[in-house]
Amino acid sequence: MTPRLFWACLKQAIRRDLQFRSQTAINALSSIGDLVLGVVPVLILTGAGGTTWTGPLAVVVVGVFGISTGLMDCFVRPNLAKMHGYVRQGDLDLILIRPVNAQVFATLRWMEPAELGRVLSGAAMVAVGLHLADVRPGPGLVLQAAAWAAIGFVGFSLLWANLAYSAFWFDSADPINEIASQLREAGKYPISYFTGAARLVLMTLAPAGLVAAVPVETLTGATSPLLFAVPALAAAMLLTRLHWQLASRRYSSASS
Amino acid sequence: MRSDDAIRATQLTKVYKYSEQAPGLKGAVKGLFKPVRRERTAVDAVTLTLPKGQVIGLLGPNGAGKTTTIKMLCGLLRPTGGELEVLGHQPHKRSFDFLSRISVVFGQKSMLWWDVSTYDSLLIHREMYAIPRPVFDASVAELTERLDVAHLINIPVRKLSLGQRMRCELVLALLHGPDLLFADEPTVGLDVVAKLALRNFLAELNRDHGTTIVLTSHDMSDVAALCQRIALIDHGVIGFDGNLQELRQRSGQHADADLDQVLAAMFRGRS
Amino acid sequence: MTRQLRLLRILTVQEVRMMMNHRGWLFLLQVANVLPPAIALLVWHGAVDQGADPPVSTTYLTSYLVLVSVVAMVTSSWTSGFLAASIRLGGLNSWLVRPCSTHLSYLANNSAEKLLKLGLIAPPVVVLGLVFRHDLRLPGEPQRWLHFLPALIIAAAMTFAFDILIGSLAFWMEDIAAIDRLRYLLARLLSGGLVPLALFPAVFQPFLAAQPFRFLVSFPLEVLLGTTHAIDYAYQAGWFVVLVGGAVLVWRRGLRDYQGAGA
Ligand SMILES: Nc1ncnc2c1ncn2[C@@H]1O[C@H](COP(=O)(O)OP(=O)(O)OP(=O)(O)O)[C@@H](O)[C@H]1O
Ligand SMILES: [Mg+2]
Repeated sequence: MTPRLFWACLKQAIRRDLQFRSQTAINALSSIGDLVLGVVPVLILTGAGGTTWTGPLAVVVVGVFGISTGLMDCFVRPNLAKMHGYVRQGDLDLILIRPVNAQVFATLRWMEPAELGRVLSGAAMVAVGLHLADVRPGPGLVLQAAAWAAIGFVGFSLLWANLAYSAFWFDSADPINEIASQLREAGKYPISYFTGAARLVLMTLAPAGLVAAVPVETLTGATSPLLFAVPALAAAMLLTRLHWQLASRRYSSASS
Repeated sequence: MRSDDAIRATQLTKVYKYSEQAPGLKGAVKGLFKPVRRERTAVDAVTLTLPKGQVIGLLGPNGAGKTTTIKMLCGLLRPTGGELEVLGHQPHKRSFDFLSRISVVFGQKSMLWWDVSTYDSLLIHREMYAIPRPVFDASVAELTERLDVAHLINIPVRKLSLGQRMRCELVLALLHGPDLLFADEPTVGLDVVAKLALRNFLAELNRDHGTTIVLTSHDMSDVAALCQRIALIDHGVIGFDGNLQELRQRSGQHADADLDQVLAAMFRGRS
Repeated sequence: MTRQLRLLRILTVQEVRMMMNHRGWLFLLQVANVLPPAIALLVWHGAVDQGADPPVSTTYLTSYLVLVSVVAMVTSSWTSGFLAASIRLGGLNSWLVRPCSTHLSYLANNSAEKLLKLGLIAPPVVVLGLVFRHDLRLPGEPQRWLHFLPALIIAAAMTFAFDILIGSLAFWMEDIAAIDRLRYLLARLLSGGLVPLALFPAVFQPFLAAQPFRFLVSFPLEVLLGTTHAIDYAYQAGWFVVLVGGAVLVWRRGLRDYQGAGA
């Protein structure tokens, strides 16, 4: 997948979005509204006291969550959500015959630029939240936090991809995307509200906690072992690649 | 209106309103702020009277206004202008009496429920049209025999071929014994055998039950075999109304010219 | 009238039969529906364990969040998208030429879906209830349940009317998906489907009590858990009239302007 192919896909997506005029605007607005309204349950939670988390910091978490999921919903999710259709209707053929890495192409082909509105509003929330919380992290911490956010983004996308590939194995696996998206919502809450097994799962197997909560903790100075996460991520990538290969080998184009 | 007229339309007109969009990025952005409103007159002051028991074929090139006319006649569209009475009703009011005396077959659209058998769909229509059990049984028996689908009506519809499905569509459409049948391109996509069977069936229906039929088709042989009367529509206007023989004469083609040639000559003459 | 009822029955039976083919699909969807309240339960229990002090008791919170996915499912409707598509692509034509209301088929579709989903959502909800069994208190008085049932059915009817209202906008608009999304957004927050309305700060309570979305999910649960006031029933009646009346009005207007799409 060359950057130029990626660029072409993006341009095409923007053109399509602009064609459906006002709908795109409403989609972008509702994507932002999604985020802004999404902060309410978190604020109510932190408002009830009990932990060291304050409202402004919770806003930062939701902001980072918005940036990350905005990117995910623009670049990753649309394709994974289509995986089921690709497999069931035999459209995957059209992807497999292209002279590009099929897995990457199938993961990045479709984009929803309207979702990027959430990235901007998320960034604004981060800025406002940090200001209100009076947190001024140094560049080292920011870098570390960004690294965690990237790990969370990739990690959760990998989980989602593996769930989406279940379309190869099961007939009615379609709602798995809905499950993944609801699971991701757990990442909007500061991780310390989760206890015991739930917390462990959200840090490892379903790394929604790494998407926003851990990066923000890092910003406030709490450090988590980055060195540990990188090899885990590499292993997850390898497994996902393997899963794809097994699955697409099994795939025989469904006749229509 | 004479009570033996099935359809009476005077100056029947339909104007569609829609907004246009220029291609590309620029057009899309422009459409966002200043949509271009357009109007298209699909049916233009059509006057038509159809006695009961007649079979009429509406012919015309693509986009002539045939489907639009049928949609107004069966109550799907409210006419923009003119007078319309079908079976003594104003179609767009969609009264129970009107709807249970007509039936519509769209060649492109299925009325059957996709995931269940034809018989299940028939049972639903039995309730819908309040058909008494004995009438229902007799009707199903007659229709399945005539259309030769007795062995097909218990198979889920999605597993039928197009031709088989079309015949099942007809069983469903005629179950309640309508006085007036609208068939919009019923033979589209069918092979010659299926087409012939369908044609014969419609002819029998008209002969034995006196059903009035309004048919559109792009297949001239359908029309030649079935229709006592032909109306040519182009650009929403009826340019010819008469029987096949008159049509041949009017077209100026030699006597044994192929029907498609006759029609093509007529269309060319108009536009 | 009896014709319509018989028709509704036979259509519903048929819908159930067709949907049975998609039960795996429906089950996964139910699992997805139980996830948000499950996450809320986890974080609130975590907060309470660490000394948080929410305005409602832990048992209220737990009972509410365990049951809310069932209520939200029963009062949900997926008609707007289908209705809009049938208007835009001409599927509506097939119904308009038959002596039967299109809505009857959607009603049958909805009821069938509810019947089936009720069975499918039970296992994940029971699991949730077992995990949080120490704080779960279901009301023992039968009349609470007796009041709960009509409130639930009215809520379902209101959502259905809301769906018809929004789906009918397709008579004038190319795509109603965005509006639908906006509505879901508001509904998610304001219906009490995600956070019990009682948890919101006190200043918002008068507004929350009066707005329509409350009566789509939260209200039946409030009836069940015994936290309603007399005035609430007046609000409910008012919004019922608005939604159902609005749906009828918009549908009638739309049918008049209908362009009968499709070849
Ligand atoms: N819903 C609509 N909105 C706008 N214009 C329409 C609509 N439906 C049809 N038209 C236009 O009205 C005209 C007549 O269409 P109609 O479908 O009646 O043609 P037809 O004779 O059935 O053609 P065909 O043989 O291709 O089926 C066409 O120019 C068509 O583009
Ligand atoms: Mg047509």
